[in-house]
Amino acid sequence: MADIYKAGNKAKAEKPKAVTKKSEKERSEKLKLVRKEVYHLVGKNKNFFSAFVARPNGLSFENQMVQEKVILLLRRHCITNLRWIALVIVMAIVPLFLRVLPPFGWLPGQFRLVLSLMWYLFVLAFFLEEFFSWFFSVNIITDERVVDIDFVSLIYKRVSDAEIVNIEDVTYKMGGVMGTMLNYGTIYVQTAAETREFEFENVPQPALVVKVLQKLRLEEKQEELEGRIS
Amino acid sequence: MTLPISFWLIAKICLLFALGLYIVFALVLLRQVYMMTQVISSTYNWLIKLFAWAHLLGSLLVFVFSLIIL
Repeated sequence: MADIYKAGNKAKAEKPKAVTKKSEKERSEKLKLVRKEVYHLVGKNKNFFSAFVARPNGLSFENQMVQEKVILLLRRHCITNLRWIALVIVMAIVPLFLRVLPPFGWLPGQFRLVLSLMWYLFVLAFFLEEFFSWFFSVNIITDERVVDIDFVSLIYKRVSDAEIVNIEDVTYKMGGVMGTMLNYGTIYVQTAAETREFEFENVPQPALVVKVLQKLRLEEKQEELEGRIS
Repeated sequence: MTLPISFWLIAKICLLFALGLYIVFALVLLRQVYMMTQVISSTYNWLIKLFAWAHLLGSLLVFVFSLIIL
């Protein structure tokens, strides 16, 4: 009788192991599927000078972990640069009209030339500052965290990041004629980390970015769950 | 219209001083570009650095040119 009981216990003990292995496999399959969905959603835009760069090659950032993969790099929509580009064009034309005005016309030729050159240097400085401000102010979404890099002025930068598991709430706001027409808006990411809120200002395709963040949160939760089991 | 030479000398010094300040600004910009390319590193870093170096070189050339012709 005792042997029968022992055999029965063994059979019972082996069954949950097989179930666990199967469920672990299912979970890793599910994780792969989520990642595939994310990659499918973002597509492949590797143009580094774009406002929406998906899975860029050769991009790394400060404090990036070894196996951390960049999924999205976002900048302000290109159309938001239109104002300063128009200003640069107007500023570049100004000296052509100034030549006919009396105070400028009275100056000796070499002074006029140097003043014009100085003006164009000033225009160039304005252009470079605005361009670098747009180019380097990026929001990076990796498979582990979100990074917000702000290049406010020439002498001020701010870098903050939060892990995706710490994200509590993601909302986005789209408004105005241009925003609606060209599909860009501001995303607010609430986190439980020290930096409470991240703002992705005027980024292209905000709905898609929010969806990607949701998928990544799901993936992180799944990973966390797997970590507990194994 | 004839103005005393000293006026043009003062104007020349003022212009050269402003151009000198601009060179400092170009140096700050170059430094900032190097800092930012360390934060975000990409295969296009050389192009951005080239812009900043060209800007510094341009401002130096304008300074030297102004020094000669004024």
